[in-house]
Amino acid sequence: MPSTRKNHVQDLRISSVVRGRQIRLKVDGKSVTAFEGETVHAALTAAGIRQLNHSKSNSLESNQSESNRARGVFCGMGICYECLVTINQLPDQRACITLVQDQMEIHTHEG
Amino acid sequence: MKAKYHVVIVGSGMGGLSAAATLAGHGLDILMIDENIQPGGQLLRKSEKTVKKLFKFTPDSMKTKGVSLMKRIDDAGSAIDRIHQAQVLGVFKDRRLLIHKEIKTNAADKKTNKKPGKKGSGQILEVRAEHLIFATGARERYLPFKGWTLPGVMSLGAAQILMKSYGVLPGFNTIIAGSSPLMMVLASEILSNQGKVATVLDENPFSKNFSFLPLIQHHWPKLFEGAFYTAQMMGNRVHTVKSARIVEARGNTNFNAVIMAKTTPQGQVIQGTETKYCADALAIGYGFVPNIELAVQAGCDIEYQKGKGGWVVTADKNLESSVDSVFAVGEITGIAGGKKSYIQGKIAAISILKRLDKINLKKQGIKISKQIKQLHSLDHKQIAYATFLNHLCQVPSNAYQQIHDDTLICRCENITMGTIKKAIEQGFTTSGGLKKATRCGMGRCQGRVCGTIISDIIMALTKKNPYDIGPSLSRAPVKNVAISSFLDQPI
Repeated sequence: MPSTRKNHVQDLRISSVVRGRQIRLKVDGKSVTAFEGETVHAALTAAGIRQLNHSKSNSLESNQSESNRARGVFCGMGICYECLVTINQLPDQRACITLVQDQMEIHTHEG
Repeated sequence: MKAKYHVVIVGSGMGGLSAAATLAGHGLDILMIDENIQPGGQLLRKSEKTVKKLFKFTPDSMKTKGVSLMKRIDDAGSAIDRIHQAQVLGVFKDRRLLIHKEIKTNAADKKTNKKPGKKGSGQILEVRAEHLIFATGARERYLPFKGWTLPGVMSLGAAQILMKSYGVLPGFNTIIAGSSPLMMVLASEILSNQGKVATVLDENPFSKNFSFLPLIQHHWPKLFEGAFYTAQMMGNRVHTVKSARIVEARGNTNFNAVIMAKTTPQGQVIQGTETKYCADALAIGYGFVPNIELAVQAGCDIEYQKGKGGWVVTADKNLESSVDSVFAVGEITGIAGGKKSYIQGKIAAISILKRLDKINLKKQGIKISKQIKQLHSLDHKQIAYATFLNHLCQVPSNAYQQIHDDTLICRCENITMGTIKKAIEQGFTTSGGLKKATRCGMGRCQGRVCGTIISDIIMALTKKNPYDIGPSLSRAPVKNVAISSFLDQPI
């Protein structure tokens, strides 16, 4: 992200925070760094991945244009179910209230 | 885990924790259930790791209190059973609770168990509660606009959780918008952690702040808090716009800009004032809604109180609901923040201890009744302050009339404002009727996001009163659960 501001962060992870052990996730086949204690939501946000799911496919003509559109974390506290991802083959897991684990396999857009 | 408990507490935020801490040490079997990974609710999201500010400003003494409550409960050890990442699906006859405990798979499991949905989908538990305390908290309220479903648009709470619990900024450059008191708190947190706030777009006109004046006597620390935030915004040259409404969020697959317009004191958008602001994250919030779904399913009476955030659980002065031995504490009896939840948790716990003869009224009678009296008076003070805050968050009713027809209202089912307007014109003017006519509120979140928005829209368009519109109903299971959770039970 371009910025000339002094002290401007290069990474969304706040540098002063003490983190858990560094681990690796596999997100849609790609390796992503995460830290123990983070949620899937936090780790993916830090990795620049915001699109986690897509909206429902509609059969009604009136809202076709809203079908299969990009969605991501909205409420962040387990209420809205917008951040559903597949984790270790288990579908429809809420990224915002699931902690990362080493070697976790995450697939987005499968909801 | 036992099959029967003297007290089951649902929710471990300030209300649940304070109830548990008060009940501990009396030889009772207590179970505390929470959906989150850790106890503490939304207020006590662990912040000790992330805060490394030059000037440590902690206006909220409730956080310190909450941390000590958690410690007290930890010290009580095995006396309090706790389950996390679990949801109460329903409450049945004689306070039997059906609980879904999520089991998260790990990589090791995966190798030995290839079948998806088998192991790891969850476990169903059943417990009986002699007394039940609901401390299920609140969620945020929203005013929808075109593009509010784009990834990168999030609730104020989501942005706060990212920072406070996980030390991750919501974006490189964040726009904060809405009518919520949390906006300033979030802006301050971002700025204190080397983040950038592009702008703060406040729905409220400046004049609305003055309704706080009569309350200053009891709540003067809040004035300093407000002054601190304002100074920090100015120090960081954060552009703040009052009477500002988002008309559209833009982006292809990710959010990248908002279009804002100024509004009249009555809340009408002023044409020609549209301005574009760019950022990579947008955090929005328009106040709070009590999480009453479980209480409604359990049969508790509810009432509509605008100053308390809408539909709230009716409770007597002991905080018992209309259902025998079912208590309601905290945000679900009226939005008022952590302090009121703390006080109410204590009041409910003392009511239960009295009923179970765990408090010797002969010996401690005067002390206890004095304490209860103090708690009630504190409770009233908090409610007065909260009424101001809830009034501050309130979006003018003609804001709903101006929502564009293309705007999604029900995010789960892709139901637009146009579809809802048409159904209302056809006479579907109750929450239940509109739901059946359009499917709004029938998706995965079960109306938790759009439910209040829809009743506010009906209210704005028809001028009907909330009792005629009605709340949305809640039935078991009140939270989503995979069928496989019921199938894969150990015998």
